[in-house]
Amino acid sequence: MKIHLISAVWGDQYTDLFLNVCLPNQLTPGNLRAFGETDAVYKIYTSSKDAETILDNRFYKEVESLMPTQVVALDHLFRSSGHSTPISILLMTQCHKAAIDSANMANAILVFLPPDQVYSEGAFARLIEIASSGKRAVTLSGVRLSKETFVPAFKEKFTDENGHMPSPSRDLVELALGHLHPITASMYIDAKSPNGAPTHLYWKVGAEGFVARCLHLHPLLLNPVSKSRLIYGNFDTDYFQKAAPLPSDYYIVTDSDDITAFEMSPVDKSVGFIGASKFNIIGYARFLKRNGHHIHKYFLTEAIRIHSTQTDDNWEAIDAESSNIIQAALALAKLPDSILRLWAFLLEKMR
Amino acid sequence: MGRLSKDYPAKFVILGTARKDFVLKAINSLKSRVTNIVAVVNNERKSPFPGLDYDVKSFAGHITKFNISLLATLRQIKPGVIVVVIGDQFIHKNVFETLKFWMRWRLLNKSELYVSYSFDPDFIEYWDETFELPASTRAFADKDLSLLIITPHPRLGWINRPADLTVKVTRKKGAEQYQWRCRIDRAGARFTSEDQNYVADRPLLSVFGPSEVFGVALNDDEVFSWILQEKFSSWNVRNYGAPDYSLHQSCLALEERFGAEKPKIVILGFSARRDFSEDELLKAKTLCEEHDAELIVISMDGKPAVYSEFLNENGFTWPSASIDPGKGAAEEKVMAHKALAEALEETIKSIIAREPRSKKSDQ
Repeated sequence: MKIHLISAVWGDQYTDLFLNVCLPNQLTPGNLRAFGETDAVYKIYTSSKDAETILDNRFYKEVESLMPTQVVALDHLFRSSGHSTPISILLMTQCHKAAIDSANMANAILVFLPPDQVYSEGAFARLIEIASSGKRAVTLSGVRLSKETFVPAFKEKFTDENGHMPSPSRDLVELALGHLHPITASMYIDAKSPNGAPTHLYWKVGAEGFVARCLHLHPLLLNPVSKSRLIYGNFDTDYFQKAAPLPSDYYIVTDSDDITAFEMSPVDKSVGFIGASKFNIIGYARFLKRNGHHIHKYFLTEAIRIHSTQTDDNWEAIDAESSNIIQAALALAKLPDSILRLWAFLLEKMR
Repeated sequence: MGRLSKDYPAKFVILGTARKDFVLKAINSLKSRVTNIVAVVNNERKSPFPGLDYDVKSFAGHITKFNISLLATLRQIKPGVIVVVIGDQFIHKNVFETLKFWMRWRLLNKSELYVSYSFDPDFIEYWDETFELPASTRAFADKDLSLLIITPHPRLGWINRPADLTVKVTRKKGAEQYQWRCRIDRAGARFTSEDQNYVADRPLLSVFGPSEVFGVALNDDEVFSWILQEKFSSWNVRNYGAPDYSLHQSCLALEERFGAEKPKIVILGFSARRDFSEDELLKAKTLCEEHDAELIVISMDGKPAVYSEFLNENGFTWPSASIDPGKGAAEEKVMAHKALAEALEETIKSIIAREPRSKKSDQ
């Protein structure tokens, strides 16, 4: 099994986070060390300035001792500093484009490792198992946390004597629940000011966790059916539809016990448009009508449990509740937008 | 980009789908290379554009197939090239789908589509969704940068894109480390000196050919063209070699460059085993004669000289059949490039010592 583990990272803050939190979290027996029997290469796309820091880092050197590595400095992309967030996404796409081309040429499976994500212990070992079963893509929720508070707590809780940070799933979820990012908080179904772009919807289950329904999931692994190039959009949007077009090719991680990933973002990261009123299903149906392709809609049909304790009947009930709302919204999204707009208008007047 | 020259006859439309400052950067970059620029921007963004030495036209609404306002504006301009400026988070499908739809249904004249990225305004990329990387790059996918430096081209298939790339590879468990750096200038030429300055009054020596000429997996300063630049410091040496080029593509590249500059000496490398074509060599020879340039041809894989019959005194082969610049370990490649540069030195000196071809033909 030929695997390209790829990460695109640049800038002091993200490089530091990647090297000193993400890598020690990956360098555990159940994660990077699980690739021992595979033909895996760790590839980092960056700038030459950041490459120097990476090459000097002790955790990177540990990765070198585990598997072949490649650090690619694409300086022509990083010529000017201080890129705004939108351009950063475009730059990230350019790095992914290069990585996808390379993997296609080598006939390799891609594992996308964002430089701001941490994983539960055993996540990568499980990933290899799933890929071996014939699934073409593994997707998960990658819930966003506030970096400033989460990172110190994460280091304190999980750093072992080697400086590695293995984080068992439930312990990780328990910690994460106390550091949810404002964007994450705005995705709760009962949020007072819900997110205007509800790519995720969350239903709280006591203090134990939540059920997520996600239009967008992070693609952690991809074994492309079609060796197509990344042309439009981000790597996790249109490209996926071409690379793995059938829903049956996907393994959606529906339980945090299986694999968990959390993304660490600055707390001031733009939350986006916040709605003035509470969640309403017509507005959500209109959002679904405008956004996402058939794979994204398929993601929505699965209830994802993020939990820190054993799940019980209460979770079943919340699953069912979320299912009712999603099914209704998907059905409504099939109506013409003019009808939905009129409906939304009438609801607003009645309110 | 060879095609972008000041005398490009058709209208050059910059379609702004991005912030004003990104569009302005793209315009300013292109102004130095082409004339006939028309910026087409949304009505709401029109006023801030100075439009001093280019036209500014506007349209209303979002870019969709049904936007009659944009279609009417473009029809009025009749563009030869449309450059879409991308400044936002993603490359938006709707813009390209709309333009291609209009062209397919002949609502808009057939134009070449390019993209200008906000992070790299000096480079515009030919937009070809069907473009596939050359198959031979597969063999190097794990250690080679060549697939990172090629970009689609409407006539040549692909060309080198401006780049500054470094790759550090660790083969196995920390062992067998190596690193190589490759820089490519705005004209698609591999660097032959640190500053890659083109001194206007110096004669030009241009190099064309496949991966071996380009110097895949070698540092800039290990490629024979760099060594030649050091040896002939009163000349400009340019390496237009490109990964996986056939002899046909190299000849097309030569033709393109003759449209933009006047080399005095042309070195054309090719693989005699892979894609030798007498017709292509004759074409290169004719082109050079028409432009008063001396041609040196080299078989990059050591096959004996069979071309001297029509190449006259400059028919040239690889100095030793046992050294192949495209194969072997990095050290062997470095040696091979050094040997090639040394062997070429004498030939070049003898050409420089001879009187120019035009004077010879005058007699």
